[in-house]
Amino acid sequence: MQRRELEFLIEFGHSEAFKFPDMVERGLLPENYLVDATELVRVLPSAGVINIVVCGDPDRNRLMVLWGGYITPVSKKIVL
Amino acid sequence: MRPAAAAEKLGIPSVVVTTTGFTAIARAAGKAQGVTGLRVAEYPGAVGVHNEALVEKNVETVLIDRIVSELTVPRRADGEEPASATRRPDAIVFKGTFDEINDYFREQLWSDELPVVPPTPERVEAFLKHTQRAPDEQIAILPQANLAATPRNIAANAVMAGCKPVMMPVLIAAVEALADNCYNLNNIGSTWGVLPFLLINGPAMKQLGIENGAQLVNKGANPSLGRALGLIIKNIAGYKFGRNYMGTFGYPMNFVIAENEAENPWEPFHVEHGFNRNDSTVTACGTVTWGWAPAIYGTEEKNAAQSALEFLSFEVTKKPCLARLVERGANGFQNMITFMIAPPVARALAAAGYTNQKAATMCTSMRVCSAVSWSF
Repeated sequence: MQRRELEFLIEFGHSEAFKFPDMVERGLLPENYLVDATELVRVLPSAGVINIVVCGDPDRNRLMVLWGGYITPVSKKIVL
Repeated sequence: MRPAAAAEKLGIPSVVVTTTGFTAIARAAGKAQGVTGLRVAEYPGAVGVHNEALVEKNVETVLIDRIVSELTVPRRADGEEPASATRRPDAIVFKGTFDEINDYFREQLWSDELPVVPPTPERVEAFLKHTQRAPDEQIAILPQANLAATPRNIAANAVMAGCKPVMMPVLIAAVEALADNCYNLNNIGSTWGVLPFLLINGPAMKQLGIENGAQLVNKGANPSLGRALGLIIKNIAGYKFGRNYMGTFGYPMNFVIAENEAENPWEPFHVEHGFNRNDSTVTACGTVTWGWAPAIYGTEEKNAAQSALEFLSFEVTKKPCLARLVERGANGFQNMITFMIAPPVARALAAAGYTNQKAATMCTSMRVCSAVSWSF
């Protein structure tokens, strides 16, 4: 994502109304995020936040992304 | 809510400042932390779209008085314990026809507004035969109501949802997953509209008729299992629409997916997460995908109307309209995008001089601008 898009989300999509540099100063973002507005910055911290599930019509070439909100998936064994 | 609850536990009088309509969820969150009757002062309206002058006025003329009022009286009791806390777990709560039972369940806020199958003792008993756990054994305590989930009340909700009795082991495991602190069940009430769903892996899929192929969320045992999940969250976890389950535009039905392990070129999800291939698992998940609802905030440099328009432009470029653009060209899609705008945001747009058509036109022109820098 371009820095300017992330900057917009941070400044106008959160009640805390952080400025982008504030987040770097507070250590919430690393310093290498302070790039030009049109340069790309990483917005997903690691591959660990992505779970892949193979399902759906086995004859169609589609995919779908489900954003998780506040939830961390938890698995439990089913005892039949 | 949590800092206020922590302070109250230390004997420090505290008041939660929140926006309109959030008193119930604040008190429910406090109760889940062990503090009843949390003091709450509501700011009037949606603060994010109010300009600085209006915020100052509302704080000075309304909010301060409410904070003082709350802090100068003892913390109130949360009211009487619900009847469910004192009633025998196997008590008959109501007798009547199908319609009368459904009316009663709706009045009690026990249904999801669709007709439910009456959870008669015989139907509940049929589910209890599919678990080794005692009928009233505590499986977990589910926030925010902090009620005990037992095989009996899990079964009652499953009956209401139209599940088959063989689903009982899946639902017991699902409740255990929901109760895990990592899952964060105590925080799903947000206006984001967090929708829990289940993922099933392992041999149980085939044994229980859970679908993993085309239209999986609508087929086989999946829809009733998803509905049971929703009723458990409503009736045992205590999430009630508009009271402490506050998704701005509401929620679609909870759903169930399952993995097509036979056609998966990699290890299946549950094996990737430490289980054996022959284990069957249920994973409690959640999503905001039917529509993450960005909260709109204005600042001194950009008012709420401008912020709303930019968010709409930003959001619209993430939605399927781009696929239609690629398939059909620039004029290939008509009337296929719906903006749902909460009244305070609509008022902010109107106050800034935007008609709905002008706002839509602004979004399309801004979208063209952002497409110039689209790096995909």
